[in-house]
Amino acid sequence: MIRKIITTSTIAILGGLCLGASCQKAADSLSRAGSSVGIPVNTSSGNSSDVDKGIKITKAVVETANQNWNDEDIGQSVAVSLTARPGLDADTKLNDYVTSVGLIVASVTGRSDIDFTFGILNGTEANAISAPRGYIFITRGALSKMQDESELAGVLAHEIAHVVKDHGMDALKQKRGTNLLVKIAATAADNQMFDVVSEYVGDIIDIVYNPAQENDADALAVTYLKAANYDPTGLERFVSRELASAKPDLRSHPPTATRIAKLKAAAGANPTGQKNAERFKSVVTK
Amino acid sequence: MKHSWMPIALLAASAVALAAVETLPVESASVTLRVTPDIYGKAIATAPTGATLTVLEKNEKFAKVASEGKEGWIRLSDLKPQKATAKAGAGPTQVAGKADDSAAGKGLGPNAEAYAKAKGGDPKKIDALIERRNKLIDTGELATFAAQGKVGRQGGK
Repeated sequence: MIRKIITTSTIAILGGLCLGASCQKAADSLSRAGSSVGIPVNTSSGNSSDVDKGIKITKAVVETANQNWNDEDIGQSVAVSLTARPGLDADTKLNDYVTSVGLIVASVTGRSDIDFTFGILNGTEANAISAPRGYIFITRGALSKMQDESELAGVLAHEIAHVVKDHGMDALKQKRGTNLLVKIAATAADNQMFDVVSEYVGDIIDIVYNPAQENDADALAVTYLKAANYDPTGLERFVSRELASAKPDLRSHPPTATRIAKLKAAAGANPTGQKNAERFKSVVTK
Repeated sequence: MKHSWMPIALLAASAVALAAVETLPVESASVTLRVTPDIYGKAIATAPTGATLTVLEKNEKFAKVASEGKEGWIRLSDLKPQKATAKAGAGPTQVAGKADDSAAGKGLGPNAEAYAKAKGGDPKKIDALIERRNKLIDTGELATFAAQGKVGRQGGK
């Protein structure tokens, strides 16, 4: 059986940042599993043993792993999985730029215990994804749709907020149970360990946060933007523009309208802070 | 003759101080000393494996340490606590670093490496992202980037 290539890497951004049209595509693809839209992301949907292009999970491979997995291991496994599909953009200058903006936002979170790592995913869809313990990725497509550095900072701030609040592991535990890490060790003996981890990795990539978590991440993101002296409307402007390009039914979607209103209110009536549009345009080529 | 209790009190205090001295096992990774108590601070030195760090002060998350004539801040999580032992002649606490590779951002851990072997993916690409991130911080490029864009804490100043 050929493993189903995830139909919705756009869902990944639901896990991180629901971006207007992307939300609709994600919802569409959820309702028509098997169709192919968005970035082909490696997930656990389907039979994972067929996905791996003939890679055999041998006992020796299992034994190289420590059976006591933690959330950092899960986050790292998500990150390494994304290097396979959709793959990482290797542009060093662009990576340094995204990482610098991300680190500046991360530096105001007060979470110096988290080593945030940023990467750029191949793909034209406007997506972003976060994994436990600070692994954050944004697509080249999302970058191409941004107008200045504060918008990039806003999207990264939203993802950082999900990490800070540990929304990823919370969602995973809600789906798989609070003993999900124990289950990994329990399957080591019969070489099923990585199949279980693969399911979790897929869950993180496909994650759909609940509205409360999204609101939480939005609010925190605006706080971070202000603390980092970025224009706090950056996230709102980007999400609003994505919304404007969405289908009419999505434009009238109340939760999204509410989200925009909340983002505007959080930014305040007379927002200040840097947009750094020229610097952004000098690095991010369309 | 009037007895002074002060020397005895000092001895008692010294005994308490000695009892609190920690020594930590030498681990594989090195520790980066930074100018400020902050992982985004510029690096000023690296304490190699086996180096003994003298803790000068601590706050909630960071410790100011001295190593081979240089002083800087490291995360408390970069130190691996173990059973406290008295060390004669020790002034400030002496510790050796460090322990937790994953917490220190030194690259992917063995589980993710094994996962990549089993399921595909290139750990070196994530390691490269981590190395570049560390370089941006350690060389001060990040601080320059923040200052030029007037962003970051205190507007990049």
